[in-house]
Amino acid sequence: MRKLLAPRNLALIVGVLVLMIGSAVVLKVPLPAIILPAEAIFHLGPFTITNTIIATILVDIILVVLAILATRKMKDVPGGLQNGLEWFVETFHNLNEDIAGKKMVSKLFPIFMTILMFILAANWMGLIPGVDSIGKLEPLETAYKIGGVTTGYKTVNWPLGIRSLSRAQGMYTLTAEDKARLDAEKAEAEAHGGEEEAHHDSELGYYVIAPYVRPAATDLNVPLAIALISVIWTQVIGVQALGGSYFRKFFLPHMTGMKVIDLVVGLLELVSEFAKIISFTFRLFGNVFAGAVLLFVMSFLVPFFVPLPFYGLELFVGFMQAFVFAILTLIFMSMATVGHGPDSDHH
Amino acid sequence: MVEILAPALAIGLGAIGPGIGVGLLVAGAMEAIGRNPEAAGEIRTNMILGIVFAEAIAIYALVVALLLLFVGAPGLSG
Repeated sequence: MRKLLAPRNLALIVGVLVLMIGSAVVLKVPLPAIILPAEAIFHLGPFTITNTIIATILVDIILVVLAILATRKMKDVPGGLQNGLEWFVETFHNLNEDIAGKKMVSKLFPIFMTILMFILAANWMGLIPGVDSIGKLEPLETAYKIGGVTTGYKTVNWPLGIRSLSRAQGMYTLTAEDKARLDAEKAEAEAHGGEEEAHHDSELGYYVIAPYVRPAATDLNVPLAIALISVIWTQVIGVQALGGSYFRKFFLPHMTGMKVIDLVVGLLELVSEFAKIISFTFRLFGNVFAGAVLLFVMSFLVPFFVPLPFYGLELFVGFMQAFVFAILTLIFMSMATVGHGPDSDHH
Repeated sequence: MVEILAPALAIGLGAIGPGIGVGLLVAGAMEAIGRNPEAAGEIRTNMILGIVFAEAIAIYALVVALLLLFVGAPGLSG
């Protein structure tokens, strides 16, 4: 207790409190624009680089750097980072051994761990201050045309050319006439086919923020890509384990001996493969997107202390979704290695 | 009016089922822990896994609600 009340710590605590309350009075946190599609940050030739692509690349860099740092000076008695990562990997390796069995684990564990670590890093990235809140200013009109945002804020000018949004200076909600005009402009631009040059100043004078980095899984494409990898690789694993007879479970499997019922069972198996893609995709996307919106709204309503438990919740949800995605992939894969029909083991 | 009511109904009705599901899951898990406190850790892990799956259904409804709110549906005035 005495340590906590040392003069330096006291000064720090008081400083933080003054800054927090002061900024709350002066600035007021604006509600960030909730835009469903990822915002384009810049163009690289024919490719549009969105903020979720930037986040994906950052996640890759973080994971690679972490792996290099942990394995640079390997010791027989690990300590620090190496120890931590070894514990992390070993825990899940043991779990995989329990589920997939000793024979398959070396084949299935790498993809399990890749999915887990990638999604985990991508989800937890959204909790870092600045991610999802520092970005370029998008005119309200452009934001409406991209993602249907209808409310913008005035900007405040800071030194060094930095500008931020300010709830204190008022916000503007598009009227029905504004919407009709913007919809007509958008339709016209689409009819001409030409890509409309983005204008960087708002006619109305109101802006929203398009963040430079946005959690990767809030873009539907990222969960979809991982889901496709997971489901397609499941088929590959199945063929590797069972050969051509793997596909028998889709087309006329010998389940009951009645051909009509077998046909329907096979069809259901086939449909469930596609349903897996959809449920994988939306489970991850929905949880992460909803989490981001939750944090936005909580920080908007009460900027301090109240959002903290929600950050804890997001920490948990972020891990849980990564784990569920990976463990389901593992379970589907180990199921694909087991033959169907009366001649094989039922489970 | 419809464009506000539609997402509200989507998430409101969609949350009923998962709500009941999570309730049943936790009730079952608590009973199991009461009967066999030694297995509490394992039961809790499986309970959380089950909750995540039940919750995913609510999240689907939430995705539909968000889509209706931010993208809109064809034929829906707005």
